[in-house]
Amino acid sequence: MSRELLNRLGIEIPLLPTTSVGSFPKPPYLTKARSDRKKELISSDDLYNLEQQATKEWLDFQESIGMDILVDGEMYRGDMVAYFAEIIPGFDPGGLVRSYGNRYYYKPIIKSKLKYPGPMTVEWWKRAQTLTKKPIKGMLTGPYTIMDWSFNEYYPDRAAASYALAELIRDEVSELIGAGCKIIQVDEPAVSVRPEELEIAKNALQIVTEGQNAYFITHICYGAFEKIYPAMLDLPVHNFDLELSNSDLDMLEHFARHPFTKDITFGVVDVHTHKIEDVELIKTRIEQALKYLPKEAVWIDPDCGLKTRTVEESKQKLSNIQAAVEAVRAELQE
Amino acid sequence: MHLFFLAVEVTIGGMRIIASAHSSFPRVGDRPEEQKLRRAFAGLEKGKITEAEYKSAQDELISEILTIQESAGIEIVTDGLIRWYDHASHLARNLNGFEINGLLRFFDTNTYFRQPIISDKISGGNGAMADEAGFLAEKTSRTAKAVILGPYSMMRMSQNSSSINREELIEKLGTIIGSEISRMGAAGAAIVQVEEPFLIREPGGFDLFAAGFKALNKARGNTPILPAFYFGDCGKILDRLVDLPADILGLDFTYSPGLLEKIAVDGFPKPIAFGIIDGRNTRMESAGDIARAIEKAMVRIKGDTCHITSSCGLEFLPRDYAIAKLELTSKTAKLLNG
Ligand SMILES: [Zn+2]
Repeated sequence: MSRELLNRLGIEIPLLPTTSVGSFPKPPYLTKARSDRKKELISSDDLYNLEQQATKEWLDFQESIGMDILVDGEMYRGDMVAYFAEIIPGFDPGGLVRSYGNRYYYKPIIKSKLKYPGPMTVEWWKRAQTLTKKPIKGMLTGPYTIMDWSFNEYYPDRAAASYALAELIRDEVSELIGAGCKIIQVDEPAVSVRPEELEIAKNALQIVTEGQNAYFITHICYGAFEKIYPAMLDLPVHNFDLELSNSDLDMLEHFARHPFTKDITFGVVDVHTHKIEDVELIKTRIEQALKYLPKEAVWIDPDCGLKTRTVEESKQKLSNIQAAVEAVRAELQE
Repeated sequence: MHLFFLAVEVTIGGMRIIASAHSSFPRVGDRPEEQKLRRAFAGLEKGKITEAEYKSAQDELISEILTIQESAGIEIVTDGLIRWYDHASHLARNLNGFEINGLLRFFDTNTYFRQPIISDKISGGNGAMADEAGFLAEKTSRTAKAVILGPYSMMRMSQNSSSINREELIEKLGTIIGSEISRMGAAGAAIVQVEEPFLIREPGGFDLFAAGFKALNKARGNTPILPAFYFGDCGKILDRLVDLPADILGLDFTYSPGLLEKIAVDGFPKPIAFGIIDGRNTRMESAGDIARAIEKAMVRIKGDTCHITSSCGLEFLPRDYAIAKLELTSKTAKLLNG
């Protein structure tokens, strides 16, 4: 349980704190502005102003429904790897590849030695934090995942590329902490697919987090958790943010066999379906989770980033999560 | 059987190597004119175009991809699998008795597949995959290779919600997929590639795989097949693949640096589709280096034709790199054929 650490950092959270994985959908005006910017129909200042507006709208929404730990929604980011690859010297932008269905992303190429370019997310975090008293998570993509989702034409192997990236993500973590950020999420969705490389991911995260005074979360999703569990509990973070509802909560059986020893952010709605899970269903999922996990260790969120849903769908999913959590909290206090 | 004695029968220098496309090809490129299918898909999702209009966008893209392969000097071509949502759900959608569930990661490719759910009522298909093979054959003058997921990987990618046990299920899937292969052959496919990416990482599943493959072989009629294994070290299962009733074996050479050497030393009694051009990285190999590496193994193989291809489908690369890899494939084949 890491509530003591959070207390020491000056962060108070209720039972079953609610949060989000990271990304929210961009409102239609911002999607249009991004494409207008590509065609140079608007200036980068125009785009920046709209990104700020959208960020503020999402922060206001999260506060209005009573969420506990907020995110900036990543209105200024496209893909979670490409965003960093575009800034870090040594990467070539690469080209479009398909993810699933009709979704494509730019997969970058490591062409030469990677260098830390200076703060990549800190200004956005600082600006967002001035707009709310609730804590905002610092959001970074993990070194192993950036390596795995890029082509590597420079480093001799996958480990070397991961550790080079880890050094510069570490620098970014230091900058975030320097700016006042206390909760930092380092997403590593790729670690669940090559169990034999868990050690590389662990070493890389060790470089990122060692001696850094913050509460660390890592988000992992859509892989074979059963193949890396319980070994994954050794990753040097305080909280695992996991996608659990897409797979009908089948990880709970594994938690029964081997207890979850860290905090967990428990995904309670599927992000790949237009269907809105009702409050009752989400409540049942939370109650299921609490049968296997100590309530002090559980945070609640959607399975993954909501950016592939519409603004309306995302708001409904988040509102239902909040309502379900409040209902469960009330029952726990009875 | 003893590999050494078989290998002695090979006529050195008699082997021809054919430049072949592996399976998938990028559906879009970076330029707007290369993104017609993406726009059509979005249009379909929004109800702005009909299913028939979407299908003709797919047809058009397949013709373009065939032109790309042909201009790159590829002799065995595919339709790029551009009609597939993914390996597992494409098959499930075109058979009976499957439902299709949520997304799961497809190995470490950062791509996803939708998980099929197996019911008690699974049975043969609606003929759509045979129609796809027929379309491909009709649109090319080169050798048409159709592709299908094999029974073992299909079972591993699916959730079994039926009362059928694993042993019965693998045979049933083998028979169903074998019949589809037979229909694809009848529709014009010169050869059908049966993809089994799951086997190499789980050699313990070999007996189950072999049972499924036996059923598939019985049902496929006389359509030639090419079982393809990738995303792992094929050296681990090579000795067991020898007896597989297949016309040629597709192997990924990028995970196993010692595999070519092993074949060069031991020989091999069956033609191989050399998956040696790295389909997972943009780094360009040298045709000369690859030709030199293959040459020693090639002369120890029994048969008169082998294929050279990428280690896996090219969909994981941006399109410009995929095209360059196709060109590299045919350039290497030319060097080897002298
Ligand atoms: Zn995720």
